[in-house]
Amino acid sequence: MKVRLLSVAVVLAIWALASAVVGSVVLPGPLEVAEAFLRVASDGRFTAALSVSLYALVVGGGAAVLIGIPLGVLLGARRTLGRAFDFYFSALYVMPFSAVAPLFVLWFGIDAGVRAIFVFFFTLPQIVIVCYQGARTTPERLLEVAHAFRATDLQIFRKTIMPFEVPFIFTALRLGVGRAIQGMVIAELLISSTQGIGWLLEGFSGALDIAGVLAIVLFIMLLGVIANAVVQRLENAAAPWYRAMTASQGDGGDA
Amino acid sequence: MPDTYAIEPARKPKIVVEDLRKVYRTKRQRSSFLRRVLPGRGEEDVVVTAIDDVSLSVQEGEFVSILGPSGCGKTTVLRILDALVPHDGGRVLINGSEVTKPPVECGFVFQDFGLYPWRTVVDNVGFGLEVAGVEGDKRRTLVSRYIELVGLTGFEGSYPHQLSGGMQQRVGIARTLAMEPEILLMDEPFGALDALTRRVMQRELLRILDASPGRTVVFVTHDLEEALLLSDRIIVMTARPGRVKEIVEVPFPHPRHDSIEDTADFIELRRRLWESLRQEQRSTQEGAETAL
Repeated sequence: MKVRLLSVAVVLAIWALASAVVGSVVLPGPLEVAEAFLRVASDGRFTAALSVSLYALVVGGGAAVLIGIPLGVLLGARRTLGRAFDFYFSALYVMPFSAVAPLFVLWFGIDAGVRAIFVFFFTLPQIVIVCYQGARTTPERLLEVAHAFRATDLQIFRKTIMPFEVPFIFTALRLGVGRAIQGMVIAELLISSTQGIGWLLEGFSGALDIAGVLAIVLFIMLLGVIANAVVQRLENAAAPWYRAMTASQGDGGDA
Repeated sequence: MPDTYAIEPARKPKIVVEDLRKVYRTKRQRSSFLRRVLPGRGEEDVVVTAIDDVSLSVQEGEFVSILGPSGCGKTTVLRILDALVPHDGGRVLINGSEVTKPPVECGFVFQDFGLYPWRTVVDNVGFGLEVAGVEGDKRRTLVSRYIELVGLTGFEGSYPHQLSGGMQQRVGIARTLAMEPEILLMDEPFGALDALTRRVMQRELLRILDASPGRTVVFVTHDLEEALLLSDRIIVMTARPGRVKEIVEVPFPHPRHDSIEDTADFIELRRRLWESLRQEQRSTQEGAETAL
């Protein structure tokens, strides 16, 4: 924790210095951005925008998690299914979502639901790919042990594939949260919207309020970092063996 | 020398292997990186005869080692005995019936232990019982009995990564013994351990087996002293394709003690086995050189 505080202090100092050199009109310093954040946060529009954004995030991201995890595990556990369908998710992952955003409006309208649908499709491939990878890479030896002890297919799934999958599910959650937040902002910027954090962002950008833009961007990043830390703690509690095992191979990773 | 393990002709063999043959059809990656990356033909088909014409039989209560150079297919023979891999010819009979899926009579011990990293010692040892539907007190009793037998009392709550290699294999052995199998199939169980731990574990295995007489063991190893110390009979295999080269009787009585290592008989047998193995090792190397 000490290292992190020090690291943040150093970065803030560099930022303040850079701001002093190029001038606060082009690059506002940390204090001005903090000030802008307080100004934005005390405004009623911010909390309204936040709740609108979180709706798309929670509904769209939640649906992606609820559907993506079982789908990914199924594709990974059943080799033929995986070979038949895995590449669709690789394709969806690289699809230029910003380019097709207008089509979402055409198909799903412009109410709050469309942004949730956008977040869902934006996040789903990430979750599926990670969970697929986990189930597919269950060590051959552990599967063989289950066979040697005459486990049925269902027992192999429940006692070998699923426990091995747990850390991958948490990785999928962590990457998925980040992806869902990105999807949320893209949806609000590109799908015509008069609400949400993305819309606020667009407003500040149009008014050349650089401190306001940075304040909201940093807020979104902070949101991601916190979500990441929460999921990491959940993972350490749910699969303590995984962290200990990877730590003994030289990776600390305390978050 | 008391020949306590003479085979009575009328006794029914526990394991019979007839003309076993296994061919691996694998793909070998081409040596050029570019040819592996470009589409198509990144691999070439390779057919390798792992074992050919392997016949043997094991009597009830016998400890038989399969000894041979690396890559001779000895592990393949053992895996076929437990139906973990299919074979391409011949057949395996256990208690007179042909093996098509992992037989209930057999318990397998793996070279790299094969422990579940998310299970504690207790839960790893109980894995097979859990799969077999043995629940409650019965499972708890069996688990703690075998944890005690392998000397892991006090480590019940530990995870595999918290244990040394030797202790991990103790867990592996207890997990298999907890099923109380008639036949123990051990695939180089001490091969991944350091030399000192290996010696300790060999003696531990003698002690554990003395505690449950009548158990049949098939033990794969490339360590000839280990084979001599533990076995009643040693099946020496040739280099690939693996065939039975010779069968050596080990005439030391049970319970075994490692003092036999100093006897003239032991030293003579060791010399003979070494001679036999060295020939095969040499032909493995020559084979590898021609392949290059």
